[in-house]
Amino acid sequence: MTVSLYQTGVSGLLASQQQLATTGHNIANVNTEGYNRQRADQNASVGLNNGNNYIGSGTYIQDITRLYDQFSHREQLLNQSNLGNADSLHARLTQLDQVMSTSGNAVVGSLEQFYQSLNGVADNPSDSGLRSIVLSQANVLSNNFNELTNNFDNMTTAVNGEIEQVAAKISEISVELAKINETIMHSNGSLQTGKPNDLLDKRDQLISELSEYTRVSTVEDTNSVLTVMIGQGTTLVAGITPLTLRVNSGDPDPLKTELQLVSGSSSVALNGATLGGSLAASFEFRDEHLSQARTEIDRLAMAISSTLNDSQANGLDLNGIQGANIFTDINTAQLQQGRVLAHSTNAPASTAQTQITINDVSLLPTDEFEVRFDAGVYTLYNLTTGANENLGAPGSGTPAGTHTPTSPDYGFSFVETGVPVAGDTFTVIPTKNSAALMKATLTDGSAIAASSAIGVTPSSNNVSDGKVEIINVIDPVAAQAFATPPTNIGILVDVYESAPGTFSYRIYDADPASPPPTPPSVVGAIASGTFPIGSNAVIGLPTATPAFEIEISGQPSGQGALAPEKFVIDDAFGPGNSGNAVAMAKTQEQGVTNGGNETFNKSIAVTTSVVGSKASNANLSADTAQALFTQAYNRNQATSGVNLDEEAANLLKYQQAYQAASQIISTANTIFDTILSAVR
Amino acid sequence: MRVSTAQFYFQNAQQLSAKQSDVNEQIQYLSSGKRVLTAKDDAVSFGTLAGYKDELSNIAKYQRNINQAENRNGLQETSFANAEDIMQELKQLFIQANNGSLNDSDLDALAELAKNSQEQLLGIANIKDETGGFIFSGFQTQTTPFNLQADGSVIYQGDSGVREIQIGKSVMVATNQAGDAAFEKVSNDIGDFTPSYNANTSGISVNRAVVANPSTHDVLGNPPDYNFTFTSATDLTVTDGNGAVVFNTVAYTPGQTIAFNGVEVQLDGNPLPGDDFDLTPQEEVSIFDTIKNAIDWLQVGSSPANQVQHAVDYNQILGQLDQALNHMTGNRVDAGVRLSLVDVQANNHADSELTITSGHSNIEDLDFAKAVANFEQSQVSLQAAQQSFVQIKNLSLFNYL
Repeated sequence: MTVSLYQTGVSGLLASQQQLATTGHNIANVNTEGYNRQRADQNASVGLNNGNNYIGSGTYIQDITRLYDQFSHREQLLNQSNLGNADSLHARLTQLDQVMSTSGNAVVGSLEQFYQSLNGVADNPSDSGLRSIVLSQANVLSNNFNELTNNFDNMTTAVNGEIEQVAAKISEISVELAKINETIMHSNGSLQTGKPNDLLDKRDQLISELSEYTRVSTVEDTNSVLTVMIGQGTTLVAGITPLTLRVNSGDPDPLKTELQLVSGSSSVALNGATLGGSLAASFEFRDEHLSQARTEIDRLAMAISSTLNDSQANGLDLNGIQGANIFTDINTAQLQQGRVLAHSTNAPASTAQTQITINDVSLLPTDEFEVRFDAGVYTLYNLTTGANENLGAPGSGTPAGTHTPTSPDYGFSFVETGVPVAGDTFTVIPTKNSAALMKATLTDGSAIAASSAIGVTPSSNNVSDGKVEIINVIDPVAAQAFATPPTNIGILVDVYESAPGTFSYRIYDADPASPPPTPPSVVGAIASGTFPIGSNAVIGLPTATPAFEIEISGQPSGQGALAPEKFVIDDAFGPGNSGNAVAMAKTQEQGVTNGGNETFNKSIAVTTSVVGSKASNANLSADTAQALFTQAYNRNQATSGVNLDEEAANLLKYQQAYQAASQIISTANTIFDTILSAVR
Repeated sequence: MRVSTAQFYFQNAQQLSAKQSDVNEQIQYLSSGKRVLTAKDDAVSFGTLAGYKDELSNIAKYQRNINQAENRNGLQETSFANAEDIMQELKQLFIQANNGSLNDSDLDALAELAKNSQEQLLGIANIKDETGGFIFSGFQTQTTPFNLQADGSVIYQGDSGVREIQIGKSVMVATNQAGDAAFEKVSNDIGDFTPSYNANTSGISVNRAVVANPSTHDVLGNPPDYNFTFTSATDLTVTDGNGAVVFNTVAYTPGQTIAFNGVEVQLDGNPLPGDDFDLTPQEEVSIFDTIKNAIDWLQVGSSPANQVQHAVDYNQILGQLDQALNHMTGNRVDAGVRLSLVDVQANNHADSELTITSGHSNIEDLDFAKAVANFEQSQVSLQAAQQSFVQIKNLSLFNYL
């Protein structure tokens, strides 16, 4: 009986020791990340049959379990992924918002200065100082666009770098997990019944870390080996076999890097945007938000360049030459070819050369396009709206090889030469590189086309409210030549109401030496015609290859056939002529982008607002995700977290138990001594 | 619910960090004085603000242009006021000359004075502005507009260009007057024709000759010049440029209206047989031509060959000088009208600017009272979190073991 008392005492001691050890372990690990508190389960030993009774024989530690609620842990994982996603997106969008606000404001400021200097030239066109100021402002404007694009590029590089780092981290975690799985499996395979709690904790901690980067789900098998899946169910760790992630440059745009899941020597592409966590946020930011902002800025740069270049071409510079481009032409060969990216999967035998020509910036959308060659025709796919249009066979269209979509008309043409192979795919980004390659190309202030080429002077004898206006100048030098000797000494337009409700017009050389015949004769007229009341007449002159167009509108009734309303069009070129400069300055208030609805300032304000609103939403999402995560974390910690006060109390408890158990031994000893002394 | 130690610290750290970033944000707002720093702060307001800023910069642009327009039109107004004075003097001088008691040297002296007036007027017409360009040259601002020839006539070498600048959304104002419109296109006192007298013994003069009815005025069928010949005091024949007779009467009464081919002519005086003159179409007479004619008239002296014709010429020149004076006044009024248009626009813009600026400030500017209150609140909140953390961390069973 005493023997068993010893044993009981010892068992109590040992049990208390293990309890104390476990409590000590908990206390030591109070600040360990991902530590689940452990508890030693004490069980009473089986009683020994003493004939009539069962006498208990002490206690033993059944198992040291960790308090782990897999359901709350899973909830914590899910919320961690969401938090990782929301935080990452919030941080990046805030950065983009700040870039847009500072660099975007710089663009607005320099645009304002540019137009201010243009107005200066409109007031005093012969001043060379004012003209140089216009050019230096143009330089500042294009530099600002280049800067903004640089900022976007830097952000892309940063995001790509982060994706690479995260992929490397995930691969590391994967390898670690596989090793732990192996160790756990071996420890399970042996005859030990206890669980390797700390290894399990380590494994769970790694999975927690993983969940910040991507969405994680796990499946545990009978050997406690965990299969880990990321994203929508892609296996990352298959038991003891790790798979790794690798980053490849994108196709066709190398800067749109892609993820690949590598297993041994084979690899499979992974769609980063569906992975969840901060990885998905990085992809979403790079491929959606940043690229949208970049496309809009590129389109704005293109709109500014083409509007001002066109305006320049309408007038004459200080030397009487047609105005040259003030900014880089939007259809240079480099820009045109840069807008189409051929996929690397295209057959090497394909000799197709492709480019995009922009026809009308106001119709240009910010959608993404793809052109595929299949079944003998090129088809244009709008990846944003899902629409497609058959462009025709290679070499078709006018001029040959030019395919212009018409339903709807996007404002660009797809130009190709060469022989494609079925399956060839091309990514089309019509606005690519416009802001990066925008430069002010004029260097001499006198090359600013401030002067208009021709002007209309109504006769002082006109009595009705009709007018003749020059609505379109295609070639100002030719227009000027047409209105000056030797071709014509001015151009005379006379209009009168030949029949009630019908106006007849004639266009003659305004040479005073050879006046036109009495109406209605049109002998020797350059052009003639009629138009009904309420509409107007548009005439291109010279009639064969128009260099400009005039519009006769209003009600030019005149006073009969002998006294029609007369208008003379002649050369208006002069150093003091600022007609074209005024027209150029007016483009500041003209709607150009988005179907002609947005001025330049409005366009950039819209882009900045959209980014700001996205950033603000991301902020809200991040706050919500943080709150949700905190709740899940709290719930998890309620079960698994170490509370120092509780452990302190436990220390006392087990200390007392130990002391009491040792007292049993000493009592057993005393009993034995008593028996021994009794039989001496 | 059970609270673990790690959870306690985690939550507190969270709270502290959140409150600190709150305080930081408030400081940013306070130091910049703006409620909307980037689009993230309020995306919708940001868009509105951008629109306001756009409007304000447009108004600033118009105001700059208005300044320029004021300066230029102001210069024109002064120039024409000076021109008016010169023409007034010249007219007085010419009226003085109609004195039979003046002899040749007196008339010469007057002619010299008239030449001075011509020079002065020329000086005004060739005036330059602060940019060094001629203001009355139209678009040819580097070309001297009016050049005095050896024979006293003046040739215009500019063009008819009128420069306009934008002073409102759809309001343009002209900033110059072309030299030809300002100085050359003075209405002909007589109407649409100028008479040149071939033989005038009666002192007959053309009072009025206008194209009264343009719809019946056929210049191709009956081309000018129209020749008026009186074969007797009552017999008048008018022939056109081809020699065809367009009007013939044998009962001419002085002062009657002679109408032919859409033209109406009225003569002053009693005709004598042999009176012959031509009517050449001329709707406008250059002011310098008028002055040259005046100088020539004065230089003829006190004993002209045809006294009667000399008197007729005098009347014609005097009438034309009057027209010239009126034209200068008219030009000055034009400049004045533009100045008042510019004034109205300036007022409009000032009003709009006020409204827009206050709208802008309403959205963008920080309400300081509210912001400071928020800041205090955040501060207090942070302090509370910090202090409570310090208090609670001391509570541990280990302190009592």
